[in-house]
Amino acid sequence: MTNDTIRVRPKGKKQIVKPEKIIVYIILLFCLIITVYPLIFTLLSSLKSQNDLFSNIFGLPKKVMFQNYYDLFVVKKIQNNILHSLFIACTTVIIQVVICSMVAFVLSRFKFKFNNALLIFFMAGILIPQQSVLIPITLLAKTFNGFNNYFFMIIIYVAFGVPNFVFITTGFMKGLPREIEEAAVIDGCSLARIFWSIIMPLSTPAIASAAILSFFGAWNDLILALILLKNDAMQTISLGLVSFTNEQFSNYTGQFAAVIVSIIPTLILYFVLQKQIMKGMTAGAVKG
Amino acid sequence: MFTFKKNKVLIIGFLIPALFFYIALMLYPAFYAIVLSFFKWNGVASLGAQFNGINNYLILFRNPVFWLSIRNLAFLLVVSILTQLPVAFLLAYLLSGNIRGASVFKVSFFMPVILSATAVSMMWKLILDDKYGLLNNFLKAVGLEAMSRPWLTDPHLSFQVITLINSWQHVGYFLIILLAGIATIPEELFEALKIDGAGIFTTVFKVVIPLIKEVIGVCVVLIMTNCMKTFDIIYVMTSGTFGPNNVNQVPVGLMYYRSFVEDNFGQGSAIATMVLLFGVLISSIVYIKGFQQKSDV
Repeated sequence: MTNDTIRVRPKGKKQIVKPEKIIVYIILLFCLIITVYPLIFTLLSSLKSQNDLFSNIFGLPKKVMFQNYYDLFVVKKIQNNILHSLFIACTTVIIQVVICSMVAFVLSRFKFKFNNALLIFFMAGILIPQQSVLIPITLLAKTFNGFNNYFFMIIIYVAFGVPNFVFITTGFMKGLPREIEEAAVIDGCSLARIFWSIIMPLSTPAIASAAILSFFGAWNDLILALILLKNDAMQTISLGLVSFTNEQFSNYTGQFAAVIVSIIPTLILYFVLQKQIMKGMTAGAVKG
Repeated sequence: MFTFKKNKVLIIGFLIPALFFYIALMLYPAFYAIVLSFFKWNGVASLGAQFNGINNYLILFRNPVFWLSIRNLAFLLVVSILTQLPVAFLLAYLLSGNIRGASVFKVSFFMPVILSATAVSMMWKLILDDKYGLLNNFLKAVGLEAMSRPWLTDPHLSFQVITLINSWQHVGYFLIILLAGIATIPEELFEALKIDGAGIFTTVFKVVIPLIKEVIGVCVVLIMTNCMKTFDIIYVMTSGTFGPNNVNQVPVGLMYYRSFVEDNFGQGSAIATMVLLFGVLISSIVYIKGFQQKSDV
């Protein structure tokens, strides 16, 4: 199989599919199945009764039943967990969008002595593992009443997301042409207005990508929630999932349903915004 | 380009909020963790911390569980790089060509990345269940029952399995990054190579890989930092126990256990400090030595 098979577009009206290209598709399809089938299996299993699952593990549900979902929403009231996580994640992202774009604006459009040093300073945070600072954060929580306190969690998530957010947005803003601001300045625009009305709207792709990644980071977190939220009424979706598993360890179909419920919000957001997500990731890594 | 002098107030004003969050809640705690590692403390404020010198470190170095966790981390690092990078590259290279439905593949491969480690762990835990799991039942169905195993409870297998699941989740991330890197290579280069009669191996190993060396370097560093932080997936898959007899323990897991289960904040901080320094060190070395393009200035 030559490189042609993979790279070159067949020219002319008759598109002859080379037999070797089938190997490419086979490899891709095989990996696709390995990636997607666990999720499909989880979904199908969640709609089965326990007996159906044990006797008919591979097939479609003999009789689709929603009992598991009923239990999750009505009995366990998992929607509360979802709402809690939603509140935390959204607030985190909103704060980050504001404060990190401000930094990105300054670091990318202004020339001054510590410009590059500051950027590296912010980016160094990417290397700090969240777990390494958990103990001091616990101590801060003890001092400042941070336990069972969503606002404390939010400011921690904000802080952890700053390096990555600044990295992505600064990189993008650096790529914006200078002429935009020059025209605005000539027209007598104040700097704040240039930031708010010109640069920010233009940077939407980068901000959106960074915001989405931050959202998932806060939504998916387990360990910080584990340490800070002791109150049963305040649990996030990750905690809800873990506690459901511990309570219902023999209820296989129920656990499958719990997994599906916890990933549905994520998946919806993902499918709507996946172009932005991928753009943001590559912007940072390739230009950086 | 705006200058500093004229806009001092705005610049400082714009920088302060993020700087505050970053310094107060990330850098200060990181520094605090390093300091705390030299103290003996159970976390209760009233009981105060006693200075303990490097005792915390010495106690750790004498603990076999600590070395087990290091061995596990090393295994995780090596296997993660060896599984995620080649697979991601292969798929990225295949997808960079003329493929129908490439975006369907891309969206699907990336999907596990955005799922919570908790959800991924639970899903695989159910699939790998000894009696009722999908995998063992599948092996039984195709006549390979001899190959079925207690994947997650067998002390010889469980960590390897967890490592592979971790790779499963993250491959898509690097696939997308590498794909973007490959896309920066102009199509004319490939055509020129074809005209020159270069085969696929030559093209990939002698041309493509060297050209995207920096992107690959970024991926390696990211894989390594992700491995250092791996906690959620192990915690959930072992139901918080870290394996029968600590067999699935990793440094951050041990840190969690020492600090929050045994109330030994000093030792926990010692581990946290080592993880932090090791992570920074390894990332810097790997990136600078291995992948920095020598820039001609």
